[in-house]
Amino acid sequence: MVPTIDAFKCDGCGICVQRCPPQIMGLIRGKAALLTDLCEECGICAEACPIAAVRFHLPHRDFQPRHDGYRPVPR
Amino acid sequence: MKPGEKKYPHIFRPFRIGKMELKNRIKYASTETNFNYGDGFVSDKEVAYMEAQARGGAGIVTTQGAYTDPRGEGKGYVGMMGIWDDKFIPGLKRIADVIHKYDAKAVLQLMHCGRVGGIELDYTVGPSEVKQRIPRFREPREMTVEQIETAIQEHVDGALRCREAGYDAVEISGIVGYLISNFISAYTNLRTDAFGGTVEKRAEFMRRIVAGIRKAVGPDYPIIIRLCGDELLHDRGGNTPEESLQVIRIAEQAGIDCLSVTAGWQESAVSVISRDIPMGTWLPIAERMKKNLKVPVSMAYRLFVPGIVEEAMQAGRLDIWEMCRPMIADPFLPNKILEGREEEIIPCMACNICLARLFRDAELCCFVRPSLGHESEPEYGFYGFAKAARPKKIWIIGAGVAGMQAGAIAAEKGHQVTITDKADHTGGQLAAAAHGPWGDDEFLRLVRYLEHRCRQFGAKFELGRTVTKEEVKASDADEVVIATGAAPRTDIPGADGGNVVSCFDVFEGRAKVGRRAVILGDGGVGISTALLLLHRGGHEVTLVGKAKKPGRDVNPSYIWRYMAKLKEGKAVLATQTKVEAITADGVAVTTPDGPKTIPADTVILAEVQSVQDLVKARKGVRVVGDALLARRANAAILDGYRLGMRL
Repeated sequence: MVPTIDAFKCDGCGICVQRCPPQIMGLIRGKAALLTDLCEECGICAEACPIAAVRFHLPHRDFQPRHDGYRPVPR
Repeated sequence: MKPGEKKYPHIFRPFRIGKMELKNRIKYASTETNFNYGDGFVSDKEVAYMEAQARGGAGIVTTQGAYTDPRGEGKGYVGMMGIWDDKFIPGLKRIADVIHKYDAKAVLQLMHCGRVGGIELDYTVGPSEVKQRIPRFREPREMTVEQIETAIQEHVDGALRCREAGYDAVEISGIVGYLISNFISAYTNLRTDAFGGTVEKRAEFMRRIVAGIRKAVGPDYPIIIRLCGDELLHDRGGNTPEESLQVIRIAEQAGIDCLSVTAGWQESAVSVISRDIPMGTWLPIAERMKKNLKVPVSMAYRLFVPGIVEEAMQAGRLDIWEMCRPMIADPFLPNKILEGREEEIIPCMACNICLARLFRDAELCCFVRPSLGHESEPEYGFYGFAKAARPKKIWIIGAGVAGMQAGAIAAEKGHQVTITDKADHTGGQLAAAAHGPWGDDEFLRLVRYLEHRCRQFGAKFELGRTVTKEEVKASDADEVVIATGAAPRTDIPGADGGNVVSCFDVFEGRAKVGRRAVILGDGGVGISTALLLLHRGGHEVTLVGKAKKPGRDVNPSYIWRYMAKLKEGKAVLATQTKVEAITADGVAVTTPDGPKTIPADTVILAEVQSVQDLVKARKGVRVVGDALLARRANAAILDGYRLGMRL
């Protein structure tokens, strides 16, 4: 599970960039971004983010997508 | 007769627990994965993972622990599966079915995490309010008698659902700090009612659960219990080994069919399962249980190679070989031993990255097997890679772990692979690190495995050859992979002096180190160099680094022991210190208190950076491992694997 970054929430403080153990995060146009190919999926960035803009959560089975575009195929 | 049966007759002899017949004496022990959905439903990923374990050939395959209460107090991991309602049964049945498909016995574990639980709550529950030692866990609240009665009933209901879902046996977890062990231990149980006080009263909770399940499921359904043989909490007033044995005797009388014995708690202040504990250290505990009990005894914990286990079984010290980490690293371990392909086993390095990930609410992940959790995805090649449509000529420069991992997969796909290294041996930095103390020689198992995989699929090795830029440019290879690793940075004034050596030279014994050794670099490399010198003895070690705390990149399961060992060896930690220059008699530094000189006989460079000499030699080269960015070995393997998938 690679973390997802809410670019609308991110304020570009750069704490995750400093904390990332493999040092693969950076700021692009003032927003956090990461190289998913090199991500070790440790979750430290999400732990470090003071405003929870980095998301690192397991979904629930019956999770509701927030808009229709991503609705999964019905079982 | 298969080669493994001949070599290890005891391990592959059929066995029985109660009325459950087993094809061999290997058990995949219960392991949390965090692969499931956050609300306790079983995910496809978990089913695929369990299928891999069953296909691997173990006699018993245990699921991960399932929490029994709807309040989430027993839930200790975000992706833990639930069993507190009948709605979970279809999912649990899927796991039982895939295990049965491969002729293994399916066992479900019931686990209430007690004082290490309540992952989504702001409290945990336990017999008494005893302060936590590890900051990750929240403070426990004392359970009332009604709550205890409810918990017992929930365990019994869980066992009934387990039988309903088609499992062959139920396992109860009472180890490492989970609820049952909290009641048993004198450290966490300070109650004075029917559930606390004497050993019998402390074991009452466990006895009631076992007796309750026995009554509910009938006399023929096997019940397995995991209990501590030695809590290793002497410093906190935990149970003595005698008390633990007494508790286990009570469990036997209550009607269990098999005991899985363990050692240590999460809160124990000594190493239990890490690399510095030699394999087979905890076998005397199993032997003691064997002498005192009639039921079969199984054990996990640092039993990574079949030789030790076969010997123990022959001597009657152990009945069932349990494994978590070795089978996370390679689910096919039992079958590979059976078929006499032991050198093909992906060896677990006891790095505990799996545990570190679980504790950070992330999915399980493995240092040596990046395909973990991707068993159902063919592109990860867990069950083997497909042959490439057009075989390419691939030249890999650097026979470290990243290069060899990429080479092994490329060769498996049918590409023509050549691996070149300037050293006369494979393994690169990991082979150097294997000279370290306290079990680090186990790294060689991984190096040997990767080399074997490369050679098995016909990759060619050219060792002892230094590659130049021109050679890379002129090469006719379709793909050039640069895996040249890292070297200590030498951009410090005076780094070319006679008293300066590289950490790799220290590891491989090429450099002589004086009495006062100053190590520049406070990462994992610097710490292991310091530990090596302390182990050799006769050195006064100073570790210099810019960070507030050394070892930011080291796994939390290891850093505390390393720091304890540094303290024991009286190493000086110069933190928040910037190196200015190296002189003939020491290192000039800037500390928060101003400039200073640290006297030194030898200065060791241990801050590594990528070696990128060949990266610009030609367009389109692929760079992996430390050559791309100096990180830990797990990143090197991951890089190599991901590149191998794409080649």
